[in-house]
Amino acid sequence: MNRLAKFSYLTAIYCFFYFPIIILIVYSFNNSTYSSLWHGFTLDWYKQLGDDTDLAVVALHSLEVSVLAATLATCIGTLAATCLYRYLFFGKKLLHGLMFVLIVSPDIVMGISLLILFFLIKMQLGFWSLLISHITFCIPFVAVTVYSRLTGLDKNIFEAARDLGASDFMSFRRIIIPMLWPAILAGWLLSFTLSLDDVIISFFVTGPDFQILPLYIYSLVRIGLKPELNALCSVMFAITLCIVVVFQLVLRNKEVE
Amino acid sequence: MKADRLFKWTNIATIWLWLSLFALLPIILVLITSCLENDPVHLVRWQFTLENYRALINPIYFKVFWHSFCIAGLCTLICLCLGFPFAYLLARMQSKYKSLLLFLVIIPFWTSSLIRTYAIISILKAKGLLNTVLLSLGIIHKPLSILYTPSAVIIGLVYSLLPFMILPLYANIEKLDIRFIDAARDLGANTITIFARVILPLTLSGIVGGIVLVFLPAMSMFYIPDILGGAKSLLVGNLIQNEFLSAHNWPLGSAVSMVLTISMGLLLLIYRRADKIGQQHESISEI
Amino acid sequence: MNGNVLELEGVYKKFHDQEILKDIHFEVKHGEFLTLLGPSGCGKTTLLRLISGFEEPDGGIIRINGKNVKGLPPQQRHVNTVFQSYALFPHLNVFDNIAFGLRCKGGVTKATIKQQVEDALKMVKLEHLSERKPYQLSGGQQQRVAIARAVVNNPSILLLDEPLSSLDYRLRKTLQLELKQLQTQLGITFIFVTHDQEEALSMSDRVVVMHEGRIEQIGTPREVYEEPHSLRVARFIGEVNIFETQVVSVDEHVFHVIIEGKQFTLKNRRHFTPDQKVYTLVRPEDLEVWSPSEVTDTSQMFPGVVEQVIYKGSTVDLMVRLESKTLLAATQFFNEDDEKLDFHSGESVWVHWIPGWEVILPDEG
Repeated sequence: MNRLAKFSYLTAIYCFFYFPIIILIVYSFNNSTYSSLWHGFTLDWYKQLGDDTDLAVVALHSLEVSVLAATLATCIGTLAATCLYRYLFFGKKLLHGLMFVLIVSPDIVMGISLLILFFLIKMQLGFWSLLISHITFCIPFVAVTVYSRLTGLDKNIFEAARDLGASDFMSFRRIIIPMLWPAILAGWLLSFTLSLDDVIISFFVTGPDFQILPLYIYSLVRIGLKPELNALCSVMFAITLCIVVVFQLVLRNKEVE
Repeated sequence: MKADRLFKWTNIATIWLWLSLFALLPIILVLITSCLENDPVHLVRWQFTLENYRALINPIYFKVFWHSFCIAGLCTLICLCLGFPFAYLLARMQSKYKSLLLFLVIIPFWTSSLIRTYAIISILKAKGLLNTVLLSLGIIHKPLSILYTPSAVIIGLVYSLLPFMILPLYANIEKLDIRFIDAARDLGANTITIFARVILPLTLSGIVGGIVLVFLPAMSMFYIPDILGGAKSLLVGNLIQNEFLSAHNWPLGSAVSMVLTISMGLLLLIYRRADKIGQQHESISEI
Repeated sequence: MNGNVLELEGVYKKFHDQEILKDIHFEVKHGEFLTLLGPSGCGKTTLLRLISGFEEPDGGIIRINGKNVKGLPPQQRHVNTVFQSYALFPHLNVFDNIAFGLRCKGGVTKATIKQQVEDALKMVKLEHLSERKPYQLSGGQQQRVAIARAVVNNPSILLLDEPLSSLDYRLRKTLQLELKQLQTQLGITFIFVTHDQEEALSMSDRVVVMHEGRIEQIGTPREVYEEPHSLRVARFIGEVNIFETQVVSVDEHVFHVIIEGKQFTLKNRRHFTPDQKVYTLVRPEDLEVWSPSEVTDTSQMFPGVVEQVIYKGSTVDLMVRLESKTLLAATQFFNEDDEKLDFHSGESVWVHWIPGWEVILPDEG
C-alpha cells in the first residue's frame, strides 16, 4: 500500500472530523443570519453573546456545577483508586466491576435511574440533584485515570514508605499525591469536561429553575437556529481545546521525568 | 496501627456509601419500577406486575428496537470500517508528528457531541453548505433532503462516535508486536491472510472494546436522532425519554431501560471473553 | 539477655497451598554480616519480608532484640530495608529522601534532622549531591542513597534485598567492598540476600545456604565452601567435581573406596558402611593435571584427554574427559613461565588430587 493512499486516507478522516467544526467557527463570524454564503466578517454574534444576560446566568450555573462536581469527584475518585490499589477488602472485585460498568453504562439508564431515586426521596430537582449526579458519573473516570497511573509505579515505594515509618495517611499525603498529581489533575480536567458537556443525564435530573449550558444549547438547536448559537458553540469548542492542551501538557510533562 | 485502620475504613466506607446510594440503588430502583404498575397520578402503584414487559412484546416496540438495532449496528459497522484502518495507520506511524496527530484525534473526542452534531446540521440542511456547493457545481438540481432522514442520523452518530472506536483500537494496535506480521510475511502469507489470521485475532479485544463504546451509545443517545432525524426516527433512547417525560409511564420506560441494560450486559460479557482471548495471545508474545 | 539481635525458631510460611519456608531456625548476633544465599525461588526474599514485618509467618517465632515481634508492623520493629529497586521517592531530592523516615517519626527538630542526614550523606560519600533528584543519579549513587535513607533511622538490623544485582560487574565489586566497610563502621547487623555465591562468600561473616524453603547449611564462607554438608550446597557454591564412589571396607580411621576403577584409601570423617554409595567431591583448584612425561607413579591417578582449554586471565580451566566419559574441571593459576601448564586440546594427561582435600558425602537419594 503506497504512501500516498495512506496519507490521503488519514487526511480524509481528519477533514471529516474538523470540517464541520471549522465551518461552524467560520459561520460564527458570518454577517448573515441564515445564509450559507459568506456575507462578510462580523463580531456581532459574539457581542450578542456577551450581552445575553440569560446566557450568562446559565453559563455560571454550568461552571458552578462542573467545578464542584469535578473537584469532589476527583477527591472521591483518587481515594477510590488508592484503596483499590493498596488494600484488600470485602467486595473489592465488585467495586472494580462497578467502576467499569459505570463507565460503559448508557447515560440514559443512569439518568432515569437517578430521576427515580430523587423522586423516591422527594428531592427537588435542581442544583443538588444535578451536582450529585455529575459527581457520580465522574468518579469512575477519575478512579481509572489515577489507578492506571498507580499501577505504573514501583510497588516497593509504598513498602519503603511504610518501612521508614509512614502511616497510611502520611503515605497518601507525602507520596501518593505528590507523585500522582498529573494523573489527579488529568482526572479533574476529564471530569470537568464530561460535566460541562453532559446532556443526557442532566436532561433528566435538572429542574426548570436551574438551567445549564448544554441543555440551553440543546433547546436552541431544537427550536431554531440562532446565529448566536454558532458563536456560543465556537466558544465552547475553544474552551475544550484549551483543556485538552493543558491535559496533554500535564501528562507529557510527567512522562519526561 | 489504629490511625491506619481508621484511614482505610473511612475511605472504603465513603466510596461504597456514595456508589451504593447513587449508582447501585438507582439501578435496583429501575428494576423495581419496571415491575410496578403505572399510575397517572402518583406515577407508580405499588403492585407487582410483569405487564410492562409483556407490553413490550408488541410489533410497535419491536419495530423501534429493530430500527435502533439496525441504525446502531450500521453506525458501528461504518465506524469500524473507517476507524480500523485509521487507527492502524496512526499506530504504525513512525513519524515525529505522531503525537500531534493523536492529539488531533483526541480533540473531537473531548468536544461535546452536541456541538459537533449541531455543526453537521449547518452542512446538511436544505440551505446548508453541502447543498449550496453541489447545486452551484451543477452536480444536483434540487437540494438533497438529507436532514430528518435516517441517513442523517447515521451520519450524525458516526460523526460523534468515530473517535470512540478509534481510540481503543489505537491503544490496542500500538501494543501489537510487529514481529508477528513480519513472521507471517516471511512465511509467505499475502496481505489478506495476514489481516485475517494475524492482525484480526490479535486486535480482537480492541475491536470489541470499540464496538462496546460505540454500539451502546448509538442505541441510547436520544438527542442525535432528535435533532437530525426529527419525529420520524424513534430509537430506544427516544422511547425511554418519551415514556419518562412525555407519557409519564415510568414503569414502561423502566422496562425498556432494563432491556437496554441487559443488552449491555451481554455485550460486556462478549467483551470479557474477547479480552481474555486477547490476553492469551499477548502472553505468547512475551516470549 | 544474650547477644542475639535476631532469633528465628521453627518459622514456617505457606502461600495458598505451597510451602514457601519450612523449619527455619537460626540466630544472628549483633554486628554480624549475614547472607541468605540461594537460587531464585528458595524463599530468601520471603524470609526477609517476614523479618521486616511485611508478612507474617504461619508458624514459629521471630524475636528481635529478644522480643517476639508477632503482629508488629514494619515501622515498629527497628528494622529497615533496602529494596532491590532502591524505591527512592522520585519527587523528593536526596536530602528529603534520607530525611523521610526522621520526619515521619515526628518530634525531631529541624536542626537534628539536618545533622543526621548530613552525617548519613558523609558516610556514603554523597555530600555534594543532596539537592539532586533520583533520576539524576547513577545506579551506584541511588544505591548509596537507599542505604543512607535506611541507616539514618538507626535500625537494629538492616535488611538488603539483592541490592547489587542490577549493577555492572565493576560497580558491584566496588560497592561490595564499600558495603562491608560501612557495616563494620556502623556496627549494625546486616542481613543480605543474594543468589550470587561469590558475593556471599566475599562479604559475609556467615552464610545461610537455602534451597526450596529449607536451610541447607549455615556457616562461615570457608566452612560452606570447604566443608559442604550436602551435594546441593557443594554444587551451588563454586564449581565442584563429583566422583561416584563405592565403599569397599571400613576401618577405624580410614576406609577403602573405588573411584573410577582405582582404589583409594581416604580418611574416615563420617560414618559410612561398606557397599554404601557415596560421592567424593573435589574442587577444580584442588585437581592437579600432569602430562605423561612428568609423572612416574600413576596408580592413584586417572587417565584422561583434554577437551577444552579455557583461558580466564588469571586462571586456566581445563576440561578433561576421563575414559569413563566423566568430565572433570581443573583450574590452575596461569604462569607464563611454567611450560608444564601449557596444555592443548586432545592431549593425554593424568589427573589426581592431594589426599585430604576431598569431601565425601552420602547419596542424598
